[in-house]
Amino acid sequence: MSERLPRQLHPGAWWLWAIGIGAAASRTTNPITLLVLVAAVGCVVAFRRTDAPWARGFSTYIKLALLVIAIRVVFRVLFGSQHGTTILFTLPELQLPDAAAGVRIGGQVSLEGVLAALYDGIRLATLLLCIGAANMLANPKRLLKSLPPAVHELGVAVTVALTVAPQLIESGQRIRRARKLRNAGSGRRGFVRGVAIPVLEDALDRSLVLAAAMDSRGYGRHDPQSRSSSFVTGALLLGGVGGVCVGVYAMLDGTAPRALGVPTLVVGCVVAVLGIRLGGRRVRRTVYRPDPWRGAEWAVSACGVGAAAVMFVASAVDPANLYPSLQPLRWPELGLLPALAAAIAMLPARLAPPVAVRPASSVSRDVAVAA
Amino acid sequence: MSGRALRPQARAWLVLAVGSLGGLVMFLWPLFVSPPDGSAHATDSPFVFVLILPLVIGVILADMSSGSIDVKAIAMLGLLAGVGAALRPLGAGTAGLETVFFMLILAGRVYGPGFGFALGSTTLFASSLITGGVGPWLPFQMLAASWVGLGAGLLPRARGRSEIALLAAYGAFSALAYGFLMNMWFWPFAIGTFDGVAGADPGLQFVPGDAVLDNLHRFVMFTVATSTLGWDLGRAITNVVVISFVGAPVLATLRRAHRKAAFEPHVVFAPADAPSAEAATEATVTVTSATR
Amino acid sequence: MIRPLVAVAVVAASSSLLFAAPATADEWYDGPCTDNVGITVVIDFQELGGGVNVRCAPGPVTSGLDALDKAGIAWEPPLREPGFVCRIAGQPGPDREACGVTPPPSAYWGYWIAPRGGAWCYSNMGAGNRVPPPGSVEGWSFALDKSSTRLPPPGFAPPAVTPGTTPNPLSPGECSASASPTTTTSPAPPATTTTAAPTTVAATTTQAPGNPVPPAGGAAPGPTTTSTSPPGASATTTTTGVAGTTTTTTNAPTSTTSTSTTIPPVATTTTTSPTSTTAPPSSSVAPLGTVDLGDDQRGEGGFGFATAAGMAAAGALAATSFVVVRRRARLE
Repeated sequence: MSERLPRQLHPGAWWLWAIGIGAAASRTTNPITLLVLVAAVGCVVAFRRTDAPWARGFSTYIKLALLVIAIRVVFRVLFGSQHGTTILFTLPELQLPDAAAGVRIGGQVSLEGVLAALYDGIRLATLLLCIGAANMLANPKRLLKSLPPAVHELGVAVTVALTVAPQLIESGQRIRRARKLRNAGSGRRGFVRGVAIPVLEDALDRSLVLAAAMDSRGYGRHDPQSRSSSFVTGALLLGGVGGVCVGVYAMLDGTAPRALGVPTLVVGCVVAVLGIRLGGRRVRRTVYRPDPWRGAEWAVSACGVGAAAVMFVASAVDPANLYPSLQPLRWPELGLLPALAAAIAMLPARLAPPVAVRPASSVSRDVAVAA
Repeated sequence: MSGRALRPQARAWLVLAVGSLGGLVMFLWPLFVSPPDGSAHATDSPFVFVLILPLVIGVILADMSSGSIDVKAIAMLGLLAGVGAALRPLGAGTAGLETVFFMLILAGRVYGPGFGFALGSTTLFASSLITGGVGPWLPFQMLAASWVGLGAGLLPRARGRSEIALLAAYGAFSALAYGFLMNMWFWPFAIGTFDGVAGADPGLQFVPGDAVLDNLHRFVMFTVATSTLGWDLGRAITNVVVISFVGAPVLATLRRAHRKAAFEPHVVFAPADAPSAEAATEATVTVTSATR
Repeated sequence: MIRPLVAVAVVAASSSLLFAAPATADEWYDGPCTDNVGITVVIDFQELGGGVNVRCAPGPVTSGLDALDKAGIAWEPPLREPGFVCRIAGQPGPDREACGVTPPPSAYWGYWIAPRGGAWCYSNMGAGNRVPPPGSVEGWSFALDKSSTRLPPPGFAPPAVTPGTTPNPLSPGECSASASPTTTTSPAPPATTTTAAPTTVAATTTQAPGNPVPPAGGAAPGPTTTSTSPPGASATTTTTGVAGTTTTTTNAPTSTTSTSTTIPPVATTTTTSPTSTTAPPSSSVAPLGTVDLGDDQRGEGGFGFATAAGMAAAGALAATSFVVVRRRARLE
């Protein structure tokens, strides 16, 4: 493949891909299929992850996923009602008093029960890892560009925060190093008085300088809204949020009339969106160098949607493979269609443009180019 | 005390109240849900909420900033959110929210409830973007943290030692409340929903449509069992300790910055032909532009 | 710390899988139990196709689910609810019901109980939570699109009292509410299938997916004929004489044996006729189903190529990503 220029993909494309994989994963409980999907996602992350600090946390997500699985299994072992043909061991049974909600702990632990909890946990873990992959791959700062203009000021504040936070961390580390060199007092008190407060004061002073700079560039100016427009905006927002409130409650409470539930919710959402758009008129802003949506973005999104579609077809063609039986125990198998879905999920490792790698030396630069 | 950094209009408070009510229902959905038939859809609703809650938060924030939020407030908001986001990875073990909370409470106390609300949202959002923690839990975290900041701004007046004590007590309460809300929302996903089999033991699972007290009872046992109660207690204790030790100097620093910022008066630009008989009150400074 | 435990458990269990013998009951047999100790298990597939199948689970059983096991019947719970019965002998199949959570009340297996010589009543307790009295009868009847007040009991009358013994009654409160079906056929030899013409039974909770439904006060508007006759039976339920009665036909393309191939569309008609109609067992041939209840229609499952290929694929992909990450780390 010819040399492609490195660039970062539009974050929306990565999120679409991840949501598609998540939708595919939610259609099956087959652990082999899910593990293959997870491995495919991990592959894409490994190939296309950047070097930014927010892109390094995939191991945290893996630990979180394992924790989720462990919690499910432990709960099934301790609290689940066990009935299975293969009994692993028997815990002493303990019936808690009513003050503790009359919970029964222990009893028989069957392999089928443990495996059922494991399958369920693996599915939840897969969804979690899909979200983690999207976090690793999509540049979050680019996502800020798609915030509606009504919250533009707060979006600016978030941009400031994103820029400032690493600087603050770095200045805190620098101060701490300097204190160590001076052999100044360490420990909690020393940290607070010597590091945290100066960093905070520095940040706050910087904020005023930043405010002056932003002001001189025209931030914070807005067209004054006419009274009627402001009134309409406010009415729309209030009506929208009220409709959402009513709709949410009606949706939860089954005894409410059908017309009150989802339709009210939808109407409320639409009205609220209208209000936000109207409110955004007072802010005139342009986006500097908007992220392009080119062929690679289409391809990556199509991969996510395609994987979900293939899994959907598989659930119609061979559902028994997607939901392996636990009673009696059977080894789960990797079907052809789910394998195809996993292969499609892995395509963005190649389809997405390569990521710029900072070469440490000239030798490694050649290696990076050849890779 | 110089003026409020963020002074939303009266209408914005109404939107905030209604939106908070809706958000609270979405948090406590396991207690409210009572599907008419079959519980197959009992666990479908929270997926809808993941989409709707950001809209509600957006509406509240949009209305709050529709009045006038001047550049100094934006910059201060951004900086404080950056401080909170920088502090978050420092927290050991859990999501590190302890270290974020105390900053939120102290800043909300100094800068007011509106600012505190906005600070909660922006801090959680920015820190999630930094640490890569964007997910369906984010809107819930944002709203809950905003409530913490809002509450801190609404606390009664106090000074000196009693102020620190008040803030520490509020820190403990808000940590427990935050944990309660987040766990309640997530409870049916953690260990599943109990469907049907009457006479059987639902254990610690949530039973849709059951009496509120029964579900609450089960929920409390669930938090004890998964030691999330332990985490929440740990968070509360951290808040109390940090606020007690660090609160005074940080409050002083924040107040100094607040004075320097001089959030009010705020500047209003008017066209040249507007009658300048509109007297410049001490709260506003009218600047007429010669050309438009 | 939990992770190694789970891993060890899975390894141990998987090794035991290689040597495990199917844990079926010993010596179950077709037909109702002839003694007063075994539990008679009746499976009525209703619209799923398969007819009514009867087996006897010998010996004392510890629960309704244990009775299923001891009768050699393959059943499957949902993934998240181990005490619920989602699938019996592979029906409904994975294409109709994924069995991830409990099935909806529009299509689920209803759990009925009866003492010998008695009448069916809808059980208040789940199958895993009650101990069937020795000699009693339990039945599973698939309810498809039935309202909670019109659940069909199994289309097989509880067998008569074993001569010389007194039947063990059900515990009080085990039955849900009101009237139980009035079956007429009685001491018929087990080969006969009779269509029960039950009065409407108020169904309450138990093996009912969803919230506990308050028992509808079971008064029946008159005996109604339910739509559940095993397809093998000839068109039954005829109410003779009184005008305005209609017949429910369970279309039976074949009358003798029931095949489980087609799912006969059920004409659910219930007619109220003042006269109690009990279909005179016009068909006295035993149109019992011949489904192999021990087969859950999922085929043989062993550690096959597909499983190994899947594991290998996952391992290969994981190794690839590991290598790439390592190489990237070394470059920095």
